[in-house]
Amino acid sequence: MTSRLDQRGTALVAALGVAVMLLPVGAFVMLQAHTDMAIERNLRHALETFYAAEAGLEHAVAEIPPGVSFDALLVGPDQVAGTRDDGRFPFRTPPPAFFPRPPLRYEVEVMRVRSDLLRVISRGGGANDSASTLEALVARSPTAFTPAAAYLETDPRSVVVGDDFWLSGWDHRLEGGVPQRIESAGGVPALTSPDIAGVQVLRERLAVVGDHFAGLGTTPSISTASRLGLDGYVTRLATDPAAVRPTLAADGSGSIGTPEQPQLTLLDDDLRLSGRLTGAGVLVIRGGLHVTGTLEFAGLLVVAGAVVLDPTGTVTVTGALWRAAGLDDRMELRGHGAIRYGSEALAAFDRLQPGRLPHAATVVGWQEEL
Amino acid sequence: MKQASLGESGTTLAEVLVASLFVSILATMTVSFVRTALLSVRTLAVKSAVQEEVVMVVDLMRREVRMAGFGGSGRPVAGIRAARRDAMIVASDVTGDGDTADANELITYAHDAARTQLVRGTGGAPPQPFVSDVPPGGAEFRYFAADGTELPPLASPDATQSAAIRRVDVRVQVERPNPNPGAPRPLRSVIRAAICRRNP
Repeated sequence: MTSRLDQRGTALVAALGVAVMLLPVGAFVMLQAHTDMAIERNLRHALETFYAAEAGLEHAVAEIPPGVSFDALLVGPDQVAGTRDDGRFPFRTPPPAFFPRPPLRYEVEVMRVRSDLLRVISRGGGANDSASTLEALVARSPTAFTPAAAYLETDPRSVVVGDDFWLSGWDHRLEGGVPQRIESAGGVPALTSPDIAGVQVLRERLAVVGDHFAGLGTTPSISTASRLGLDGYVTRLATDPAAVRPTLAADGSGSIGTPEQPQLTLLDDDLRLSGRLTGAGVLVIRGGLHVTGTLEFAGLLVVAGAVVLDPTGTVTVTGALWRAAGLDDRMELRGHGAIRYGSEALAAFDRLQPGRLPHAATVVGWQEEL
Repeated sequence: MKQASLGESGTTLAEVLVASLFVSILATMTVSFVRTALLSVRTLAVKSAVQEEVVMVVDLMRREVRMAGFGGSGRPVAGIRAARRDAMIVASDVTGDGDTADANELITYAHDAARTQLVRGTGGAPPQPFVSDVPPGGAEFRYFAADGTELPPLASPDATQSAAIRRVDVRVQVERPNPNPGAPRPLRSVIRAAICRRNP
């Protein structure tokens, strides 16, 4: 029997030799895997921050209200010019809770390129200092804006529509004084309001007369819209030097512009119309509108108070009707007629008196900073 | 008198032969294993390089197709100047000077099937090799309208046809010879991307 001290072998040496030979191979594989993982991680972070930046851009563009200039966007969230936050986008609503979640984030800045062109810059950030910058050039749409054929700034639940009254969001033009649908043109909803709950109730209640509300979306074409802030708009038009304050007959009869010569008309009180009133352009009624006679209007009709059309009355609006927030928010259309979206009637006034009708913001350029 | 063997040390011939046999088997296994491992590493390196190249190419295309049509002055330009199956020209007016003649404003991607290359050219200059080992049919561009309808390839679409292209589907395939002589199939990496244009 040999003692352990006498044992000699090569197993350890052989194993060490193999290990030494395999060590560089293993190290290379590990290094390669590590590099691949790092590349994948960077790609993922780049993609995440790109979408964070794009979300910021979409959020900002969606919050640019219809209007005529971009000035209000340039003075920052505090809305005071000359302060440190000038150039930061004044978001009205925060981003949704689910996106972007830290470490993802976005910051949006705005700067003027020209009076009619805005640059919106969104910087997305994420893990490992990943960053992505996107820019959008935003201009005003050439088409005058209306959210719908009829827009109600407050609760629309009071809307009543008779059997012989129609609202259409499909685009119409006047041919020989008769509204005709422009088949090739797009449209807007028949009725909108920022009151989400009210819109829901109204949709359910008016589902049985859905065909009286034609336009974009499902029948009845009633949907929600961003708030326009008509009080300020009415106040601005009331001080417009181009505004005409006509003298109407006792029964409200008269003529306030023609489709060829549309005008900005301002009535400082209620309009109780038992006669016949025709007109074109923009008609601002700072009180309520009560019609037992006939109203024919091509353009934008803005009413600060209630809109009541008696069963004996007729109202034909080709353009749009906006009702501001008033104490009396009735909208009773029991008589005859229709409110139809008419882009040409709006455009005719817009051409003649630019800067009065709002225009939606539209993205005319998009670029990614490399 | 025979000398006693007690205290003798050493190995017998049989022990040496058996040990040699085991050592040679172990050596053969080690060499084979190391060789396979080295080939695997080389294959992995090539595969990784191929994948990274294709990812880089498609990422760049994605950025450029998204930006196609950008007009720095606020006036969009025709973003797709050629919409072929094997080639695409995208344009943007980055400087806002109203034309697409400046650097990086007119970008061509084309597949050179004869040289198995994807080439890229900027600013109207002759396209340069961008990625090699792109087999015939290895670079494909397909064009879609906003409603998802596939549009026919066009050598030089007009402004309306260009504006109608809202999505470009890109497929890039690179095949590189496998460094392992025992594996006849080339190493292949294919990436498909559906890129939606952002500009009007």
